[in-house]
Amino acid sequence: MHVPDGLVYASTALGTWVLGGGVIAYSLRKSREDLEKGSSEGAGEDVLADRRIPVVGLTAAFIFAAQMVTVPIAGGTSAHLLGGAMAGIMLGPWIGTLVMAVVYLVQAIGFADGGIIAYGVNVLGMGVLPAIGGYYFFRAVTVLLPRSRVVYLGTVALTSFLSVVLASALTSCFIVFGGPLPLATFPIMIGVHVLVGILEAVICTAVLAAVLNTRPDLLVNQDRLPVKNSGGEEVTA
Amino acid sequence: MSNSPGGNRRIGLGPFVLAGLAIALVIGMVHSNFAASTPDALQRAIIDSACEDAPDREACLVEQEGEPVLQFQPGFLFDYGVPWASGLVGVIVVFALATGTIFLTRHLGGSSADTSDRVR
Repeated sequence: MHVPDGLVYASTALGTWVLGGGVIAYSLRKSREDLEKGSSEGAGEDVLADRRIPVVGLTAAFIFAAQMVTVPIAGGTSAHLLGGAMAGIMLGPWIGTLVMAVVYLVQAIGFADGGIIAYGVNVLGMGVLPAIGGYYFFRAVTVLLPRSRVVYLGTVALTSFLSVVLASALTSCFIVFGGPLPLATFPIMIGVHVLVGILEAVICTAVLAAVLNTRPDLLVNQDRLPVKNSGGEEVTA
Repeated sequence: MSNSPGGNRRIGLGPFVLAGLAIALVIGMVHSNFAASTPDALQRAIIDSACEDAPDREACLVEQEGEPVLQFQPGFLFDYGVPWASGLVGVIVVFALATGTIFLTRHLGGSSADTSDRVR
C-alpha cells in the first residue's frame, strides 16, 4: 500500500507532509515524557524505560524486514505486513508512530518504496492511524473484558485486522479525493485489504504471543496483560 | 534466563534483542528473495478500478500513477534490486535510526518535567 509519488496531487502531498510532520513532532515530545516517566517509576509501568530503547529499534527493524516479504493472496495480488498496530500495542502510540515514520523514511529515501513527496500520505495512512488508533482501540476493547491470554491476543488480532482495513480507507481518501484515481478505487482498496488484514492479524498475533511468552515486561499496556498466580497459571481477573 | 513473577522463564534483554535482530535479518536477507512479484493491493486496486478494460494494463498503471513529481528517485540502497543486501543494509539502518532517534529524544532537549503537562 506504499503510495508512490505522482499518485496524489501536490496540495494533498503538502498537506499530509505538514500534518504528518506535526504528528511526528508531537510524538517526539510525548515519547520523551513516556521515557522519563519510565526511568523514574521503574519497570512495569505503562511506559518504556531507558533500558528498553533497543527494543524500539528492534521493532522497527523487524517491521522493515517483514514488509520486504510479500506473499500472494487471492486474485493475483500480493500483500505484506504493515505492522503499525503491532508497534502501537507493543510500544505505545507515540513511540509506535516514530517507529513507523522511521521505517517509511528509510524505505522512501533508500529503496524508492513509497514516494518522498507522498511520504506524508504513507506516514498518516500506514503509520499514524494504525499506531495511535490501534493502541487506543486495543485499550478500549480490553478494558471491558477479563485479563486473559485469549482476550489479549484476540484483541491484538482484531485490532491488527481493523487497522489495515481502516488504513486502506484513509489512503483511498488521499488518492481518490486528493489524487487522480476514480471513486471506484475506494471499495476495491477496502475489499482487497480485508484479505491483507487477515494476514496482518496472523503475523501480529504470532509476534505478540512470542513477546508475551518471553518478555512480557517489555510491553506497554501492563495493566492489560494476562494475570497469573505465583505458580504461573493464568487466573481470571 | 530467569523466572518472571508470573512464572514464565524469560531471557535477558541483550539476548532478546540479538535474537530478534537475527530473525529480522533472516527475514530481510533470505525470505525476501521469495517475495511475490504480483501487484500489491494498491496496484491491484488501481488496475481494477481504472485499467480493467485497458488494452495495455501495465501502461495504464504507469499512466495512472503519473510521472513522479520528484524526478530524482534516490534509491541509495539498491531499490531492493539485491534482496539480501537490501535486507542486510535496511535492517541495520532502520535499527540504528530508530534506536538513535529514541535515544536522542530521551537524552537531548532537556527535561520535559517542567512542562505544563507534567505539572498538571
